[in-house]
Amino acid sequence: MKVKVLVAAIGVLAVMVLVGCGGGETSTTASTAASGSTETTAAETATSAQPTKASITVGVLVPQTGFAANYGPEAQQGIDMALAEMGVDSGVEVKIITADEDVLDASNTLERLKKMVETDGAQIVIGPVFGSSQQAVAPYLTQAKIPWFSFLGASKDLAGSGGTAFVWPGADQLTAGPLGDYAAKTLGYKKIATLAPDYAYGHDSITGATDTFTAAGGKVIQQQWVPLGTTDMLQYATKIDKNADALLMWLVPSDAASFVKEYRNLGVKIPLLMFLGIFDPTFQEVGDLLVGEIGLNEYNPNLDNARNTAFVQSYKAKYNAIPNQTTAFAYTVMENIIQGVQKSGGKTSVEDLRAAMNGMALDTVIGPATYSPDGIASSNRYIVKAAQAADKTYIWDPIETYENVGAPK
Amino acid sequence: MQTFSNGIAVGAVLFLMASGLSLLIGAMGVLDLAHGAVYMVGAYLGWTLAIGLGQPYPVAVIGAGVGAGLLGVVLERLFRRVPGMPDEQILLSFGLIYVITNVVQWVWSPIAKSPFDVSWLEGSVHVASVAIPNVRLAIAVVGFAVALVLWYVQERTRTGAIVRAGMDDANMVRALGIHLDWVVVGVFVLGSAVAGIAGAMGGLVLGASSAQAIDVLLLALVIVVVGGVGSVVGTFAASMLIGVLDAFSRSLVPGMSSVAIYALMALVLVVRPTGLSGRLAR
Repeated sequence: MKVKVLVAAIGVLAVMVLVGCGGGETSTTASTAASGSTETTAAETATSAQPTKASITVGVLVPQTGFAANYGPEAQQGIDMALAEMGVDSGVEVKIITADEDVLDASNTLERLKKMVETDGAQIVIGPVFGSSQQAVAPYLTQAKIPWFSFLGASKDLAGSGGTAFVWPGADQLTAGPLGDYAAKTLGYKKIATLAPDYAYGHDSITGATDTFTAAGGKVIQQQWVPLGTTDMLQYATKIDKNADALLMWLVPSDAASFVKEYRNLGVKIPLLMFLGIFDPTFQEVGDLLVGEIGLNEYNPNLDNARNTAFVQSYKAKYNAIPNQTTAFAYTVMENIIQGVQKSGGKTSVEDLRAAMNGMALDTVIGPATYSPDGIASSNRYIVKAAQAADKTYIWDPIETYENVGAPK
Repeated sequence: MQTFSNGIAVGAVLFLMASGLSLLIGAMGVLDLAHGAVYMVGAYLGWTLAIGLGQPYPVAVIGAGVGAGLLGVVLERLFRRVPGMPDEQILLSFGLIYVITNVVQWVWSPIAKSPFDVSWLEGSVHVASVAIPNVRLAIAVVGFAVALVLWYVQERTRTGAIVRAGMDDANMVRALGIHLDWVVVGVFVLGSAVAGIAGAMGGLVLGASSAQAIDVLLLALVIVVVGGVGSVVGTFAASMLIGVLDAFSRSLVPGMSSVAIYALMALVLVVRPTGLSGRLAR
């Protein structure tokens, strides 16, 4: 009898893990708390300055609990900053509603999105972040004709005729290309191993880098795909092919930190090639293990342009910290949405926004950028090297720029 | 050999996770499914003491054990109210999981802590072609030490004899004039303390996360089912078996790795429903 009860409990727990009930992951609490404060700020700021010309409801669907919980508050900070800065003059009243993206169960994410659209009236959606979630919600958003802004990349197949996505800062399949190119042509690597999560984004982004690497004459000698939710990285660290000139990797930040610690503890000397939001927000915890390693950044707080300098100063003043990629890109996308709605005269349909944003010259925190007719952004990518700054903090130091990356040519 | 070594290292973490739960279910007949939450609290306490306050790591591990043991006292008082009622115990457990998880998120934020940095545990030991990270060795040493202590207490002391007798026939033990309730409190505190120590030690490779309340419990329950409830030896054997199986499945059939341990559990249930130890709980 006792064993039967135990097995039943395991079954219940397995279902809880699969549907993401662990860790108090409910959309209601997060949604209420976040939307309350943000909605008030944006609306009051906009209406107190001038008569409102347009009013839009934006749903923010990003992880707020679980192993990727850092995305939620970081994105919210960027959105808050964009609304605070643009609200006065934009003439666009923005109401923000939020929900928790369930990283381990896309069906949960879809249900929360449906509520966001059908009950709460979201006209535009920011997120979701993870490729598996994006693939799951895209058909619904296409059918509902709701434009959605992926602020940390997405498959190019979800934009244009394939869906209603606006993809910032560029398509997953293309965005990491410069790192493969740099590894082959500048660093002279001939053979690389790869490590990435076993889901759509991991495959797309790694393929973007390996395509340019092999096109330049390099060879991929090993590929490891980590099941989503894996936290123990020892197996993967010990299996790296020692014949590789470098390991090309991307993992979610907490897993990346775990992996690098195992990697270093094992004494593996193979250089790392890392890309996209590397280790935010855990970089400072593992920076000493990464000094000298090469990566690819889309955003970097050390970028030398006026928009970024102002953004970093503003963020420091408000949060007493350095902004990361998630915050910077949520800020950028919120800004882009307002710019698009301004230009479309308040219209929020996919067609109107695409027409409004097509070719619009954007001055962003990562430099100049544009959106293609399909809604895919082209922007700069930066090859960076990990270093320790004079104040002893760890930084990614930009060493080379690749321009107009992200949209299919 | 490297894969086998990895499996033993993972098994040591699993044993620390599961041994307290096995003891609690076996000794008390209580389905304390909040055990994963106690592990989680231990992980966060370990992080606070070692990283937040910069205390020596052994102090952090002991502190996590003490903190979790105190939490065990509170849990015992609650479970005392639903004796012999598994349905109510499961409901109470899930309520406690949510409460403890939300308190942890409130205190430490929902953002996971990366694996703890302990400078004197950096690096690895190389034996022939096998590399074993020092943190894994430390976990294995603590795991084996805990296993030895639990086995000795359970099998070689009068207290252990009372616990084992209580597992088989609690009324008979009480009829002999033994105050079983105090023994039960002691076992609850011990089981929870082991979970706290497991959280602090596991934090060296897994960090601390509010998702651990469920994730750890799921693994621990599988180990208890495979090893047999209330048996230190059975739990130890099951932990090592599952650790090695997990390592080899990730290495040889990565696509099937997540179902391998559940397949093993199903096999054990069919072939030997009482688990490896063959011990029945009361």
